[in-house]
Amino acid sequence: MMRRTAFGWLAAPLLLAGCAMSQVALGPGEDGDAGSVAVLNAAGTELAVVDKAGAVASVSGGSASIKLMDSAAFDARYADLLAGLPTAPRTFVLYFKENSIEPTEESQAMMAEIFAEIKKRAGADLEITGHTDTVGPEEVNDAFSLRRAAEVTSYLFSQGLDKTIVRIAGRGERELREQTPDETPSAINRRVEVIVR
Amino acid sequence: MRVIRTGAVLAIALAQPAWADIGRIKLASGAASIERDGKVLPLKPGFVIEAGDTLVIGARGKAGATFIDNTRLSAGPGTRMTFRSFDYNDTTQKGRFVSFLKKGAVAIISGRIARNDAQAMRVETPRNIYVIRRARVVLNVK
Repeated sequence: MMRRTAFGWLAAPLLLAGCAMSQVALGPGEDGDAGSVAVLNAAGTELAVVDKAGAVASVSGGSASIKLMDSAAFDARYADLLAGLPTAPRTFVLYFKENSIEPTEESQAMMAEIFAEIKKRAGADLEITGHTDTVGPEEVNDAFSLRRAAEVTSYLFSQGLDKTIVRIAGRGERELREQTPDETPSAINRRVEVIVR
Repeated sequence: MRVIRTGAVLAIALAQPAWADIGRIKLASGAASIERDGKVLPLKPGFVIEAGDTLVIGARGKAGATFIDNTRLSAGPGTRMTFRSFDYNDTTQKGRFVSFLKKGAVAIISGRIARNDAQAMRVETPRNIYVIRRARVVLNVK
């Protein structure tokens, strides 16, 4: 239990004026879940965990104090700062014919939409990530998913995509869009995701 | 046997040089720059951020950036923030992102690094450390 003397209360504002103070405010999450933030001291010891939308933790003098504001007030209070956040990345999903690196007709048609999205965003960059279904060994699928991504990238380059804004990745069978047992063909899982940031 | 076309090999090779990026500036206004190796670089959309860079925002400036793990950042006037280290694996989507907010205010929407490892996204300040776990937050340092 901490006791404060009258002198302590008087001295506190004076001490604060000279030292750095920090604060975290947790907003409502984009998906409704606020998530959480752990507040540690400089030595790495946990002082508090903030996990409610609208919670504000202030840290000074080695301790954290938490206040709760109306979660709706978060967006109003930090409106300017929040307005400066870039637009959320947009994902385009391209599908492939079985055992093939040929995109389906619908997916080929989506290429134009991808270019339109890039134009809308200042300083856009792309992540082109391949995925496979669960047929075959994991290492083979890692390599194959990367090839699929490279095929799409190659096509987009041929259509004039700026080569300096692209990253390519292969996720293999780690991120199934449709949950299946191992060794199961799935047209939904065989895909390339083009993420425009 | 699946045959890989030469175009695809080329695509992988061409995309490689960009992999030093950790993120890109999406908007910048007023006095907004990156300090790198003693140089001051003005910002504009598309500017490539690298690990070790310090984002410096003037009294009337602001800047927004999206990182390669989809973390989004908005920095307000008077901010000074260093992206100390950034490790990220495109295949596992795991990594570690440590930055230092010396002063100012930032809004952050966490990305894949925070989502896939609850300890991996840290913002240090002169007095303490925040570990961000899948959240939309505003941090202030005075």
